[in-house]
Amino acid sequence: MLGQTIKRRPLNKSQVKVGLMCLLAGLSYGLAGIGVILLMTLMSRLSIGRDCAASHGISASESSRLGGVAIAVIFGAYIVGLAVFSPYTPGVVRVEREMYLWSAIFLCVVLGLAEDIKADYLTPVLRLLTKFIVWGCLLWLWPDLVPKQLGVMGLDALLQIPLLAWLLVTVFCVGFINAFNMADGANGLVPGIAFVCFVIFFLEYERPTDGIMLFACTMFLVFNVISGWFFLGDTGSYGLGAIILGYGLNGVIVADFSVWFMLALVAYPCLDFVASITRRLSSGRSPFAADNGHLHNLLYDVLKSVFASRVMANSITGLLISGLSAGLVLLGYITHWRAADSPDWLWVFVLEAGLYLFALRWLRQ
Amino acid sequence: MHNTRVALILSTLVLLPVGIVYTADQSSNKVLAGPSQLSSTVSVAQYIAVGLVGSQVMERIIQAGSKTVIVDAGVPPGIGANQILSAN
Repeated sequence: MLGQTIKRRPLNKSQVKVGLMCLLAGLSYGLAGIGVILLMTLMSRLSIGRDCAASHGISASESSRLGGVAIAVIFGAYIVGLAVFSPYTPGVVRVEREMYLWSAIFLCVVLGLAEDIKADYLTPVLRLLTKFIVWGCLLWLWPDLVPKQLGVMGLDALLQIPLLAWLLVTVFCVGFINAFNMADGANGLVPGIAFVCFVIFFLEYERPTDGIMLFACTMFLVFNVISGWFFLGDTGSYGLGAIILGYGLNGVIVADFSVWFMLALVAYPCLDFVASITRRLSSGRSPFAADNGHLHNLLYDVLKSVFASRVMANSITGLLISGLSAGLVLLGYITHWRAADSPDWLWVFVLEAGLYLFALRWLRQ
Repeated sequence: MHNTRVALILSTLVLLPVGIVYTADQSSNKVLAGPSQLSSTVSVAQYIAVGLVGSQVMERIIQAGSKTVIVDAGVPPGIGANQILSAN
């Protein structure tokens, strides 16, 4: 009877994808992982936060922009659950500066959520201004987060002037969050970079927040790469960008990471941001105007003619870029090529920049 | 409502809290047991609840947390209610 039912109704592509994602999630994170995959499957089918195919540079099908919301729900559930059912006290309750940092992250998430639920609800200038105020206030309330010395000639002299240092770091923070948002254009690209960041943060600090973020990002990466039904959206790219920025900046301040290590880790969003702004300004367009001239768009154009499945071409584009940028840093970190506070990571960043420019030139021909 | 959606909602509601409850339970047990070494063996129940990678992540979080447990003066170890787990 059961055999006949299976014969009559073979599994469709979506069911196979859900099965494969549950298998991977189950092996790595057990029933907890399967629960998250099922939650993401449910959320990807909601009617709100839909992204039509035409509005996205790479995706060829209508997908959900609520990936970041799913990560936020999982993170919040674990933090609240652990605080209620165990002696764990979240950092925001104990440490004042943690409260400031997470307030800034929360405001960035809310800003992204407004955009995910209703596209162009806020103008780009208003979003930029809000981020500037949020990060400006954070750095004002937590002045130790402003680096005094980065080992870069010229810049170090400017950082000695407190007001100028505050302004420069605020501009950098806003630019970095925008860079993360701009790079989120292929399956597994920004989630892959975020996954690597949280692996490194977790191995370095073993904080519960890093462990939970690592879990949520791993499950999202599996879901995003295999199905392509779910994007991070602005909630996810702003939120992940803000967390990595806050923890990365703190890591540089306490000298656990060199500035070159962090830059090599997030090289792709930073390089692509600078290249995109330069491209738009040089062609007389607004720096905020979205286009399909990013490296990931160009790489996808080549790969889609190689692979029969568009989702596969999309996912391979994202994984190739995140693997050859942040993945390279993770490899160097876990094989102890250099300590994370070594200035030698500058050469990895130079290699990544060289690879970026070479690939961009080659793909444009 | 579609049957598949109902099944998905029910499965999510049942499975999602597994990791939270299991990790919280293990964390509480560790605090109650005092600052002894964590056992290197992982039970089958743990593999089912949080998986291969999840077990490693959970153990490291609990171990890092237990190093920073502050026990009130004059209180014998093993009394969790008077301990403060300090970790981010």
